[in-house]
Amino acid sequence: MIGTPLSRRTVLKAAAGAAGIAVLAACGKDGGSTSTTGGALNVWGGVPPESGPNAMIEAFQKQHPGITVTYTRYVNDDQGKLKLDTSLQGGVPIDVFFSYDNPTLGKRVQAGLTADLTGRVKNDSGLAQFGPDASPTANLVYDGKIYSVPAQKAPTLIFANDTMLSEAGITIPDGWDINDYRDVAKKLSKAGKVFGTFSTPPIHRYTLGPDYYYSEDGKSSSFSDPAWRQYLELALAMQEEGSVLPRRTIIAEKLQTFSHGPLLTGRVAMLPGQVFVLRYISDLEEFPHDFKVRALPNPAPVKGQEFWNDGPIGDHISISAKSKQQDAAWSFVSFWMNNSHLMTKGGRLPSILDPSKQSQTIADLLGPERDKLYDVASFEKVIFGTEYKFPVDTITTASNQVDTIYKKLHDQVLLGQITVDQMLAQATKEADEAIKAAG
Amino acid sequence: MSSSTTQAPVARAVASTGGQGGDTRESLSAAGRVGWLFITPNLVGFLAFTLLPLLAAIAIAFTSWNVVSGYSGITFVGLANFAEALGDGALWAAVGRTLLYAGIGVPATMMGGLGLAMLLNRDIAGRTLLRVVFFLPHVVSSVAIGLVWLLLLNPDSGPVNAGLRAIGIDAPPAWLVSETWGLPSLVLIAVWSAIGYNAVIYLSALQALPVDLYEAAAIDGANAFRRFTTVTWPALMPTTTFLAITMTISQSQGFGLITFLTQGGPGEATTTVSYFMYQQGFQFYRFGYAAAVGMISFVGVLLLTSFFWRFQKGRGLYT
Repeated sequence: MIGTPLSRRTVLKAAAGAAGIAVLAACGKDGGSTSTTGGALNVWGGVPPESGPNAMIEAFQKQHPGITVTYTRYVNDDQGKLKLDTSLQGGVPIDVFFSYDNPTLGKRVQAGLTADLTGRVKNDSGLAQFGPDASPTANLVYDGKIYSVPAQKAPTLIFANDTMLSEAGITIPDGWDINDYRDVAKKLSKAGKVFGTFSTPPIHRYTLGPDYYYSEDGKSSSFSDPAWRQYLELALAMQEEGSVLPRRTIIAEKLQTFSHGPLLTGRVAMLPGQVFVLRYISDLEEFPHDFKVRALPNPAPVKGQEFWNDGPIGDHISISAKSKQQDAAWSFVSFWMNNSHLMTKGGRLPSILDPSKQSQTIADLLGPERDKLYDVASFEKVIFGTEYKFPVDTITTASNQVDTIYKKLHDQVLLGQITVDQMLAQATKEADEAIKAAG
Repeated sequence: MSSSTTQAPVARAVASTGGQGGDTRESLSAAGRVGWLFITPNLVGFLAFTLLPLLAAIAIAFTSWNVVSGYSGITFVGLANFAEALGDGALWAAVGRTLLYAGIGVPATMMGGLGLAMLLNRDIAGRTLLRVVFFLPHVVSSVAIGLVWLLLLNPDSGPVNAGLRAIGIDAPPAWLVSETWGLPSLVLIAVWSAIGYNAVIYLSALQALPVDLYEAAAIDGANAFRRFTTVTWPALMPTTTFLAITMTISQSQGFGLITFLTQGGPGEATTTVSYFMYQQGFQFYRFGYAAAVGMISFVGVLLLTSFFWRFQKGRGLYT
């Protein structure tokens, strides 16, 4: 209809209409009221909704019938974290969100995206243990203030194939150390078909504890510490003797993040890992296996000496500084912290746990088929039988760069492309430069 | 002078079908408005999603910004990012790898594509099926392609190394897990996935070539090689230029396969400029520096493109 030109008025009307629709659509996304007893809360977290958050929200809404909670899952990788950051920054209505590591939370705190929770935490007797002055430190503290509370506190442990241990007639000595671990790994290995362990336990982390990448003053890296050399030389030696899955297999099969496959297919006998691995062990449909898994404690770097557990104090819950529903959001945070047992079925250990509920927690953690799949007593003993020292990192300077530098060079050493000496020299140089540049 | 005798045919048509235009200027203006209305959706998309981000990237290149801090956290740093880039050994190593990646990948893809096109241009059995088969990798997602190659090139259990062991090579390459073979493996995969697209473009150009030139060359006694160098190749020059430019741009920005298969490793063996930029921006939150690297990369690709453009002038059959 070339001959029927649109008038300017018609075009303006159409544009006004479109703008109106856009405004109405935007209104539909708004957060809602600011009441503490009613309204809508938007929560962003990295755990799949079916692995605990749905149950948590259902229980919360039952107790607070006037508040509707919408949970949005974001994937906690580079893109997912940036998506949450830009959403917080750009004004997407988010009231409560989770951070899973110190550097990421630190950036959000520095950018003013998180509400100061210091007062609320201090005034809540149940959560005071996470306050800035609590000893031992159990939370991330920024300039004496608290911007989150950790919902999870879980030790790392060794998951072992119970059948393989029994068939090899192996008894794990109490208070075993890294040399014992290596001996056991060697005995469990079968010439390239079965490897004693998925990876060498990170004894450098067990030794160095919090801020293990940094020197004490935080102004340079720690790669000159002998703990790094000890770990790398041990990892190379174990790879050489065939008692650990070769690094090149881990890289080629992309097993760095999800390392449970080789344990559940019988390719490795032991797996140093975090509690969330239980999710996969209990999933017989996806990972069918006919052996029990036994829990073993991490081996000590030096026999008889105290060491750190590298397990996470994590799942840091924060309230957005832009949330118009600070009180309702705090009600939700407080409820989550006090009911974290609802997350155990998804493989997360609560940071607040009534000692009388330990057996129930283990039962929830291991699932309904626990007697068939697990040596239940070993899990109860390893998870609750020891007072672990959990590291709480405080330094965030160039932490992502330093981590990337280490992982890159760690791979190169274990692939035989550089020596331990070269690795440590290069890591020191690159990390120190990155730390210095970041100020 | 009356408008009925001077107006252009299109304007006349508009005026005559409009019926209410009045003079020519009004009719032209009406046609212009309709034209603008047609291109508006595309124009808005271009402005919002291409031009604006490009201008923003140029501006960000002169700042220090971690995104998380919002607009208030933007600090103007002048040319500091560019100065840092000039002295950044890791960046220039990545530039070297990118040149190698594109420098081998682009000619290999184009030569393979041309050879394949010439083969598929012949009257061979199953020609249509073969055209589809060779084009298939171009429409498959890079993740699916990556997954298949990950299995094929597994150093321990992959069929490629199984085959090499079967013919007596005891220590076959570790391919994507090797510092030496990582980049060549990626080039191989990139060539494999793009060769079909190049073949289809060349094939359409081959089928449009004038038959009389070949007849004239044959009468002059030119053999097959001579016919290729004097007729086919010059006639294909516009297509070759188009492919050289688009392939150079896409290969120098190659990111999907690297992200999925190697994440720039082992070590930094497959860290190209695109992946370096991604690391700086999305892993280290140094968006100002990443944008500056992007600008440098843009200028590099622009120079290469203009080289191709100038190079083809006067060398083709029609240029």
